[in-house]
Amino acid sequence: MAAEHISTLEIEDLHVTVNDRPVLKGIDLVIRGGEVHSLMGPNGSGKTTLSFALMGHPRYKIEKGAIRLDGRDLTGLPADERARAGLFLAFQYPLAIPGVTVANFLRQAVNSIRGEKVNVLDFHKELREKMAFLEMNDAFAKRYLNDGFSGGEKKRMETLQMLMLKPRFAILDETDSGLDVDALKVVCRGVNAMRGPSFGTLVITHYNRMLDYIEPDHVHVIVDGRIVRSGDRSLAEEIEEKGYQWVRELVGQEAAQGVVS
Amino acid sequence: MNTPATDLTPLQGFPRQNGAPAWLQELRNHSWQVAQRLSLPGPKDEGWRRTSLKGLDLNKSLEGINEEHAGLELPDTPLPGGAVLTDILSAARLHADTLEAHLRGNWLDSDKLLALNGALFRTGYFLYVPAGVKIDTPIRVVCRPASNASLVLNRSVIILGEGASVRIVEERPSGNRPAGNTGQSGDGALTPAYVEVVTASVGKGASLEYASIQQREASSLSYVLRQAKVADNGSVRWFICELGARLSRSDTAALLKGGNASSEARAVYLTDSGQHFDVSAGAVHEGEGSRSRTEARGAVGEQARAVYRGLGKILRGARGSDASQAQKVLLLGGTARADNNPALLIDERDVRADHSSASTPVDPEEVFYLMSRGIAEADARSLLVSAFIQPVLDGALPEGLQEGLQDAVSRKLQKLLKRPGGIDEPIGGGAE
Repeated sequence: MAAEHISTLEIEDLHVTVNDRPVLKGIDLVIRGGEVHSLMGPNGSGKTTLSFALMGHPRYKIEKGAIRLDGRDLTGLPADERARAGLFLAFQYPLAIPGVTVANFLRQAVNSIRGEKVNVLDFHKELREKMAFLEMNDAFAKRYLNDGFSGGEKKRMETLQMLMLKPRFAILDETDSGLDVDALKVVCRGVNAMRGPSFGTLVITHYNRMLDYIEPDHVHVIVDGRIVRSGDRSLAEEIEEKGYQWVRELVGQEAAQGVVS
Repeated sequence: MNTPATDLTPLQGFPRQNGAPAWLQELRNHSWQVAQRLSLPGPKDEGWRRTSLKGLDLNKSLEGINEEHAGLELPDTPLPGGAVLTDILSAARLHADTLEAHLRGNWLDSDKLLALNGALFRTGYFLYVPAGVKIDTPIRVVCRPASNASLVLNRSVIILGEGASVRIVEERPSGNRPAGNTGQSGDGALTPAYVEVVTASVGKGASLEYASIQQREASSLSYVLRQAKVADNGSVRWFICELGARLSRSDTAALLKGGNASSEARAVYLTDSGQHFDVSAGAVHEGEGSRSRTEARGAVGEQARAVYRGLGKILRGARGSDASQAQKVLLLGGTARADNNPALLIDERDVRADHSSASTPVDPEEVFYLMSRGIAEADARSLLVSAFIQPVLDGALPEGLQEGLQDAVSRKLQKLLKRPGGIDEPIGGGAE
C-alpha cells in the first residue's frame, strides 16, 4: 500500500502591497500536511494581509515571491481556483449574504470544489452530521448565510464550511476573536477533527487563547511584515508573558547589531 | 402652461359602444375631451422629467386598438359568497350601480394616456367581493392582448366590502404575435402600447393582496397605474414585478383614508440593455395611525436606465401614522443608470417616517468571499444578484405560481448578466 501523500504549502519571499503600500516584506513559510502552524503578531503587523494574499484577494497585490501548493504555483490564480486547489480561508469577519441560504450556498461550493454534482440526499446527510458535530441547530441550513448571525454563529459557520469543503490547507484568520469559551471549544473541535496527514493549518491569532485547544507544532511571530521569530509552543507562552513589545525590542537590538533574522 | 395638443389628431366620430349604458358613455365623453385637450406628458411635467414618451405614435397606435373581450383570461370556477368576477363591459351592464359609483369616484384622467384609457377602454375585469366574504383560493388573471393590437386599454376594478379578503395575481405577458413578428421594430417605435388602470376600493377591515408581473414585448410601452383606497383597518399588499417592455411606467399607490389603514408595497425591477423603467410605489396617509411600508429592489444592466420614485405623503390629520420606504439598486455595469427619488412629504406632527435609498455595484468583498469557497467569479456575481432580489420575492405569489415567478426572474437576471439561459418566457406557461 502506498504511503499517504503529504501535501506542502510553500510561501516564498512573499512581498505584498495594499494600495501601493508595502505590507508584507518577504515572508517565508513552509507548512506540511499534518502540521499546525500558529502565526502571532501585534495589530497591523500583516497577519490578515497574509491570509488575504494567500487566498487571492484582488486588492492584495503580490509584488514578489510565490505561493506553491505541492509545487503548483498559485500566485497568479483567482481565489476560486486556489480554493479548488485545496486552500481555505476562515474569515475574521465573514460576510452576510441575505437571499442565499446556507444549504444552497454550501451545495454550490461543494459542487465547485469537488468538480461534480453531489447527490442532494448525501449532501444533506453530511451537512446535518457536521452541523450536529458543531452543535448547530438544523434550522441554520435554511437561514440566509450569516444574516443576523451572532459572532459565535458566524465562526461556527466558517468552521462548518471548512468541514464540508475538506481543504488541504486552512488559514484561520483570528477565528478566536470575539468568541466565548464554549464557541471557541466547538470551533477548535472542528479544526482538530480535520487534523491528519492530509491537512495542514495556519492559525492566525492575536492572543494565545486558541492554542489552549489546538496544539501548534510551530509558532511564528510577525512584526512589520516579516516573520521575526519562529519556534515551538514555548514561544507563544513567552509572548504571552512578555508581550509584543519584547519582540519589537529584540528585533530592534538585532537590527542595531546587524543580525539578520 | 399647456402646449396645444398636437399629439392626437381628433378622430372622426367618437366611437359609441352598442349597449353601453348612458352613464358610461358620459364618462367616456368627458375623458375624450380631456384626452383631446392634453398633450402627452413631457419633461416639463412633474413625475415625467426622467422618462420620455418619444417613440409613441398615438394616432398610429389608435388604428389598432384591441378588440373587446380579447385577451383577458379569467378563471372559470365560480366564486363563493356572491362574489363576482367578470369582464368590465359586462359589469357595466350587469352591475351598473356598483361599477358606476366606483368609476365616478376613481376616474383618472390626469394625463393624456390615462384619459384615453377612460375614453376607450375595451378590456379589464371587475372583481367584487361582498362584505364578510373571504376568498381563500388565489385568483389568477392573464391580461393577454389579441395579436396585432397596437393599443391595449385595460380598465380593471376591485371592490372589497367590509371584512372581505381576496388575493389576485395579474400576469401581463407579451401578445400572441404571429410567427415572424417578435414585437421588435427597427425604427425605435414604442409598439404596442399598453395603457392600463387598476383601481381598488378596500372596505373597513378588508384585505387585498395584489400581484402583477409585467413581461410585455421588447418593443412595447407598458404604462400601468394602480390605486387603492383603503378604509378603517383595511389593508392592501402590493407586489409589483417589472421585467418586460422597452419603456415601462409603473405607478402604484395606496390612499390610506381610514384610521389604522395599512399598505405594504414590494417592487422588483430588472432593467436590461435598451430598457427604460420608471417605477413608483408608496402611500398617501389620511387616516390616523395609518401605516405604510414600501420596499423596492432593482437591478440595472449595461445601457439601461431605471427611475424610481418613492411616495410617502402624510396629510394633515393623519396623526400617529408611520411611513417607511427602503429602496436599493444594483448597477451591473458602467453604463447602467439609476435615478432614485425617495419622497417624503409630511404635513402633520406626531408621525414616524423614514426612507433609505442606495445604488451600488455588486460588492467585490462579497464576490471574493464566495470565490474563496471555490465558486467562479461569474457564478458568484450571479448568486449575489439573485440573493439581492430574493428577499423581496419570498412569498410574493401563491404556491403554484411562485416557482414560475422565480424562473422568470432568474431568466431575466441571466440575461442581465449576459449568461446563457436568459430568455423571455411568460411565467404561466407558453403564449400559445
